[in-house]
Amino acid sequence: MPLDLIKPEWGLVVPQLIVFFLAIILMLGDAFIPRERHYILLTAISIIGYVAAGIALIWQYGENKATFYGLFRADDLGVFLGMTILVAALLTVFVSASYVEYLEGRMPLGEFYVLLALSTLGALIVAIAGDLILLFIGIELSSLATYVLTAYAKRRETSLEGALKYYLLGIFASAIMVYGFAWIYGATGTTDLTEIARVLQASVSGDHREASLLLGLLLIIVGVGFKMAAVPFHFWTPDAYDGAPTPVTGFMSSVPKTAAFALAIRLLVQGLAPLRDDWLILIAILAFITMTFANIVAVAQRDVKRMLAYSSVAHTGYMLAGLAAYKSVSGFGGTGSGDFGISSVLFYLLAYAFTNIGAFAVVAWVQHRGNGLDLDDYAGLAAKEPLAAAALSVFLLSLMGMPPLLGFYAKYYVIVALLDAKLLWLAIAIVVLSAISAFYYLRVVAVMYFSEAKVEHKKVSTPLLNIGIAGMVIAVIAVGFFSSGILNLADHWTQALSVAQAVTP
Amino acid sequence: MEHYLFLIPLLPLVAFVINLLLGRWVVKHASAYIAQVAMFGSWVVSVLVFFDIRGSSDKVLEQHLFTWIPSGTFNVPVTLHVDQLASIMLLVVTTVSTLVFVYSKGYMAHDGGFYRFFAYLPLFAFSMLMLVLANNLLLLYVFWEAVGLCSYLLIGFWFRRRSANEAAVKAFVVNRVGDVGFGLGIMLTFWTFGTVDFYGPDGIFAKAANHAALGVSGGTMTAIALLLFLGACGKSAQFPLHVWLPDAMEGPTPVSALIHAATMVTAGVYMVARTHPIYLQSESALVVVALIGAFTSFLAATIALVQYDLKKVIAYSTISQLGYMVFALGTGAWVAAIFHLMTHAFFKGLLFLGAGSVMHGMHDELDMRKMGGLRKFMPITFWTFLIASFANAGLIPFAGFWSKDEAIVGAWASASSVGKLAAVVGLITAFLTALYMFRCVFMTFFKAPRFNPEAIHPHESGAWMAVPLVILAVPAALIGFIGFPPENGPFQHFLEPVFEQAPAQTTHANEQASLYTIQEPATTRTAIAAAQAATATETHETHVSTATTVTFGIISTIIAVSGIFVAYLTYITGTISATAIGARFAPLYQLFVNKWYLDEIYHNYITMPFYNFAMFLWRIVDVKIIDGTVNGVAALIGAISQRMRTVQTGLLANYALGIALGMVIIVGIYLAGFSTLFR
Repeated sequence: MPLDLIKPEWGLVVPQLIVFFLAIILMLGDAFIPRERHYILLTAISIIGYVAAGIALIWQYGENKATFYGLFRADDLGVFLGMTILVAALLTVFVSASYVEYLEGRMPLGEFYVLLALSTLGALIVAIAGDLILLFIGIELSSLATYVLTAYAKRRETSLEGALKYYLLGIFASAIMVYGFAWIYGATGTTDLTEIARVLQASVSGDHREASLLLGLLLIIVGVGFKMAAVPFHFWTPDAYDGAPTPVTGFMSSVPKTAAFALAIRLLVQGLAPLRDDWLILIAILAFITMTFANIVAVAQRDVKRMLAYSSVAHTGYMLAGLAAYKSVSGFGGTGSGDFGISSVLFYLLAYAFTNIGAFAVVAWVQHRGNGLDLDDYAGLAAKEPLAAAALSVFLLSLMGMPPLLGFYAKYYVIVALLDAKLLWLAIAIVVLSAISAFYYLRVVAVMYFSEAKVEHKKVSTPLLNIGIAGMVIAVIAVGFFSSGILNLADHWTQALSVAQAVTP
Repeated sequence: MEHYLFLIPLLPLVAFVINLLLGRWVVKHASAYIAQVAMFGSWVVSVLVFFDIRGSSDKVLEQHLFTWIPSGTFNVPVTLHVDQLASIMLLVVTTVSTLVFVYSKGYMAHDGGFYRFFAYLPLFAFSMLMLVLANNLLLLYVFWEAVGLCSYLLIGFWFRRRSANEAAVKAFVVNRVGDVGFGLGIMLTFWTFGTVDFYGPDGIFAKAANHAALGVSGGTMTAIALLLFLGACGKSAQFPLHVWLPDAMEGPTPVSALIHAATMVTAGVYMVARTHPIYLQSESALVVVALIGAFTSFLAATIALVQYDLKKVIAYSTISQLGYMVFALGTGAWVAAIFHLMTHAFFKGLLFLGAGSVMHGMHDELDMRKMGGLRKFMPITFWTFLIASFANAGLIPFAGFWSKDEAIVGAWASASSVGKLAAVVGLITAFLTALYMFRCVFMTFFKAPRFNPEAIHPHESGAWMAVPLVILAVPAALIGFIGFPPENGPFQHFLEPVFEQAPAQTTHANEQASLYTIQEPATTRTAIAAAQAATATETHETHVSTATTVTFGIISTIIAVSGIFVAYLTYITGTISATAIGARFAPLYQLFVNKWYLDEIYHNYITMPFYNFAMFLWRIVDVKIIDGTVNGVAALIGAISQRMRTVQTGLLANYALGIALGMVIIVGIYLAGFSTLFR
């Protein structure tokens, strides 16, 4: 590549820049705005920042260009993933403001928002990265900020413990992944994903594959599996999810997870698609193990937050199943209509953001009223707080996959994709395991509606949290009806990847 | 205009959401106004749509909203489609709904469930309008079920009353029988034609017309038609599934007027008319439809003759009139069926609202033996009720005369002997109709009061209730004239494009079928079926001679007048003694009073065996076998779960080891599996 200085198109990274400056502004605001006004001002700044970034992102829709010598790709895949990330971040602001401000011994709010913005920025970078180096920088930025967020309730031992485990295992997994990157670089001589795909396409034929490529691929899958919490690389999840402040848990289950899937899609579909015969079956097996293990273990949990942690792992399994249904043969992008796999994953990520942050939001709502996280704390909730109980029921039913809620459509599209890709056994596994999952989701609903109350609830006003929960309930109920439109947007990833091939500077 | 179609269902939906969420706490009594304004807006749009459609002869409006479930070949678009038929239905539904909403404001004024009532009503209107607007079978089915749900909710509106609950459950369960048939019919349609869309070159209708060429047998067409008709039987209360409608009178009277007389119960008729291209392909299915309709109309009229409950009489009358529509459908007199559907909606809605007004004035008394002489106490109710009764009895020139006569003439004119039979039954039933209707009028409004004037002070209802009565009386009296001259009026010409397309397609199918016969003698049956279908439409084509029309007009006028006269002799002058006749024909009288023993038969031969079987399934199969298995599996998973959670030791080193092991296993298996790589 010639080293003449072509002016980079800054316009294509505006959303990332906005979130970057948001972090800077929040940092300055934290230092210079009086403490008592943090709650209102910093929350407002965060909301405005994410909304602005979202608008800038919509602006890029249909652009499908690359800049900085292919480091950044502003394509429709990136727009969809970025939108999911920003929506999740915005919802997290609504959920976390009062929690951080009032619970667990009043944690510093300003720094919390800064870390949130940095983690979001990392995820956004992964969403549009077109290069191994940038992918790694993005995922690490996102992870490092999340490690700190996990430890944010520093007066509580479990928070520190979970964060430490998450951190130590996280760098362990990162090292493995970078090792994989190194092998891929060694085999192909480039870090640009599109270039990698091109080299592989030319050199890979039939059964003849380099062992080095395969080793690199497997190490990458291990690293990615850790980031998205796939079994058997999920060990950090229950402890970290359980230890983290509740809104952070909701955030972790959506933004870093979306980043991990962005990483997987960019790496496996954009870069290593010519090796698809090797990774598809492995992803399918991982999906199966993940959903089976997580669903079965979740049955034994009495702690609602821990149950949701395992549920989150189970959903990783369903999403992985969607990834396993990728079936493009050419290796570049999709075959157009009929390749539902990746679209279903994208849809699932968005649907899951609403549903899962919503579920954790109601858990936080209950914590505000002075209750713990045990199943008993939810007994008789419906009688005293009918709206909160109804909201949690909606989220849990959606997680379960009950029509016509959003979670149903998410699972439905994954199953359609699996049937399309002739992975009948995995589709059956999803259906059977969903039935098992009904047990632990419905147990909470049953306890809320049919048990006598065992604890008292304080009267607390949490307006921002309530607005957030109401918004998510409406989204979970209503968005499903327009799922086909969203799925159409998700389908643009095919174009995005094939268009991106042609772009150089 | 097609860009505004969505407003028609949307406005009631908005009213529903507002009243449901805010009714009790915020809008309170204004919930009635919200529903009324929304419904009126929907009516305005419907009227505009009607004029737009009327502008040119075969105009069709369509608005695609979104695609509901996209998956491969199975797509369910949410598309609103308005042709002439749908436009008529829109007008009927929105007009009657608006008036009933106004009436309900007065009728339900002191009810504790006021907000709930005004939330359910717009929900019903929304569902009914979507049912009418649906452009595919599945969407129609969804809202078919939705109106059924609203019907259930509103029959059981006073849920503290046991009888209301039982009636609601009965309506729901009986409809389930029909809807299973409907559901199977949709599946068979999709299985046969690969689509659920009505229109277009790949739609059901086009494919049904060409079914022979597509290799679909006539038997399959008959099966589809009959399964769909089973659904129509449930919703439109046709024998043998009519038993729920009289019980449905447990609901508030405005509900009876709107749902169980004017709109929802006609959904079955609408559905058959909508899917008439399918029915045209099956002569035998049409025969079944005609026979069921004719029998139902007679059966219900005989029961209405001996009821003392005012609302029950009108309810059986509704079943009977629906029977007219259905046999008109079965004899290919599509336009007559829709015509009768429309006039019936107005006069039967008016009858129910009048009955409600009587109830209101009489402190919820419904037994006609305890009424009498109400003419003086409630003049508006009396006069409007009288107009509606004339219409129902089919007296010239009231609305019911024109449409009922057209149905009878249409049946007579069809070539088959079933048509003649249906026409004769229709005439006999017309006599019974006039008789029971005026038995009802005379017992309620004439002679001396039979109630205790000390305890009950009948009074005319307020303006909220009286105004809708007066407004509805206008179409009940006059709307028949849009079908004048018979067979050739503006109404018939307006609906022509919907029902005229069919013959052309059938002829086409016929040609193809004959070609098919030459090549393949084995499929003669298919060809014959197609040919028969063609004959059926040709008979519809043959226009009825003026002489026949006039003759039938005279005959039915004589019949109606004599029916009223007999009622007069019996209930006013007392020349004929009803009790004496009852004693003379005791077995027949008992048969009618006991509703042909159908409820008993169903109870003894269907419900009880089913109940016993269900008890067996529960006590033996479910508790012992299935629960045992499920509990076993659950216990097993619970045990496994407890065992597996111990993997989560909490020790960091163990976790790292787990991850490392996972990695080693994956890499190991792969590298071992691809040993060829080490070449």
